[in-house]
Amino acid sequence: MTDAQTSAPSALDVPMELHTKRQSFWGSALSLLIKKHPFEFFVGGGILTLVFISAILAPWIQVAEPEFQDVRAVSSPPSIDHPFGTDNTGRDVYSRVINGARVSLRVGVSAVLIGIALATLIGMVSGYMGGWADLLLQRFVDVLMAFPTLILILLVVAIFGATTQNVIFAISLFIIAAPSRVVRAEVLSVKSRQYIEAAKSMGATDTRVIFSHIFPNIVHVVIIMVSVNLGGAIMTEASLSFLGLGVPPPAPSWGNMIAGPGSFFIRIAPWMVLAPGIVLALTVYAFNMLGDALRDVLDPRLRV
Amino acid sequence: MGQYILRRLGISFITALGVVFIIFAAVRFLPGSTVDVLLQSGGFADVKTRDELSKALGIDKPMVVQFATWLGGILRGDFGDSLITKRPIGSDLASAVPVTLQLGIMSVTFAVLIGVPLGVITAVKQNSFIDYVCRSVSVFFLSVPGFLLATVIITYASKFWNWSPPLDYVTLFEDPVANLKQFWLPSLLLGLASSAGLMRFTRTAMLEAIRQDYVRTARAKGLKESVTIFRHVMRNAALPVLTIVGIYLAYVIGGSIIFEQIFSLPGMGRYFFNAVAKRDYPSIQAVGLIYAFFVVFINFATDLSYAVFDPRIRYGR
Repeated sequence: MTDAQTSAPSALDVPMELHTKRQSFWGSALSLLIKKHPFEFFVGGGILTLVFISAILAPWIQVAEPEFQDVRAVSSPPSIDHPFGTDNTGRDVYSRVINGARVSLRVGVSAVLIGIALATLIGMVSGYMGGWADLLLQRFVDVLMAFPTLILILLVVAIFGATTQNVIFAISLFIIAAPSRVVRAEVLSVKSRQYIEAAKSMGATDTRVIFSHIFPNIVHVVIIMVSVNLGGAIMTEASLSFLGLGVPPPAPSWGNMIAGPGSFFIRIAPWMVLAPGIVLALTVYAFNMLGDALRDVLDPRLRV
Repeated sequence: MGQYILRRLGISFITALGVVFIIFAAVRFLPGSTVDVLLQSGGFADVKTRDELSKALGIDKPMVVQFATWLGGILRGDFGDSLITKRPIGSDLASAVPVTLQLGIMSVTFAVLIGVPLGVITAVKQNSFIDYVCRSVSVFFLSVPGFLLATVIITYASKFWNWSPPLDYVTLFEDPVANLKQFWLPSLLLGLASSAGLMRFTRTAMLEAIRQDYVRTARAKGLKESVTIFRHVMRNAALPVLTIVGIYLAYVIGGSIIFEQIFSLPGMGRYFFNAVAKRDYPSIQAVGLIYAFFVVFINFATDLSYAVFDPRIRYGR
């Protein structure tokens, strides 16, 4: 193995390359990312940049209102007027895809941010406090883990109703369990370090220790968790749409655009399903690739 | 060891009960109730009729009483009757569980057959062209929604080859060929999606084993590379892979609902989905119970297999 130096790393080991340059941790992580994973960085990053920019600019670059039904052009194939064609009710697919990006990204990103924030909080409190708090929180996580994937989400959406907010909430709930375990494990290895002891001996409160001393030292794990979960969250919204429990129509989300028309329309007018489908797949692909690369760079123990 | 098993068993049991109680309580907060669903056909219903019906169904009592009654029934092997169809849930489940189980086991088999060899290859040829191609392709399958892939395949298969998956479910014992004809496509598609994760996991486990000292020793004493990989690396990478397979089984079974819908397989997922739609409380609870115990059992077995198969791990306390 070429990188034998990293074969016995401890929790806070940074890759050897990071020590040698006079750069901040994040700056050198970025240059390492570009150097070791150029494909993931440029292709994944390129796709995501494009998707985010079109989501932001959607109202200005759309060719029609996403919910406007042009009855003279129902299920018409791609043309100059309608770059991706129109769907079965005459809505412009291109405009719906870029507006759908706003919805799908919002659902995916907020679900992951909420889920990981809760997971981090649970993990930090559980790992730092230990004892009863740990026991209780971990049993709670056990219960969350024992819910099969879609069942939990399905119940939550069914109980609270299928609105965009509830879909976000349901997806975030399902994200909490595994990352909170990872954060807890990381906290356990950090909390016995000397700088924590030093902070405590200087009279820092638990809250202060957790947020200003422990959190900065586990934040790379949190970032990894965010990045590897983003693709899955967008995908989950699509699956929920298929079951009729996703973002409610007529608001366009990639999920309900794919799931809405049904197989009859895939046969006669495939673009109305394939366009959002391909854009969703590319976005999730980019998130997954970039997430993997980022994990590779940021977590030395997984560097192989 | 014995104590460790008992402790884990206790925790697992409590966890499963927790899940079951949450589902039990949650279904009672579902907007709309069974009474409304049942009375819809009758049109206008006055308060008295509603009360009588809730009483007849036994859902007028306090929640704790209902929970105790229900749990008591389960312990006697009685899942109760569906509020909608009046059929005993136990027999409904007896036909639904094997469907989902078969789908789960077949998908995980596909996932292992695809994911593990690819993981080994990509680890041995780390950072090569093959490594990149395999990884990219597998992440791609992780990124396409399964239901989209399935719908597209079904649509175009019927358009071009006039083939469509059989819609009438036959059990494996009635007609194995017809049964497998029905199951191979959904299992393969579900398996492809999980194979990506399995490949990545196998790759990491292999790479971790490859850089161990005993592998260097094996190479140093002049063993053939194939022998080193098969005897020394793979054997040591096998354990973590083996244990993650169980977790994938739980994952696949929980997510099978979509493929059961598309391929009209009468499994647990569909049963659950319909039960939620109809507010059929005892059915929701029963499926939830089975899911919960299943997942908890798999987690328990995974933990246990670590302790049993890996002599390096010792559990004291």
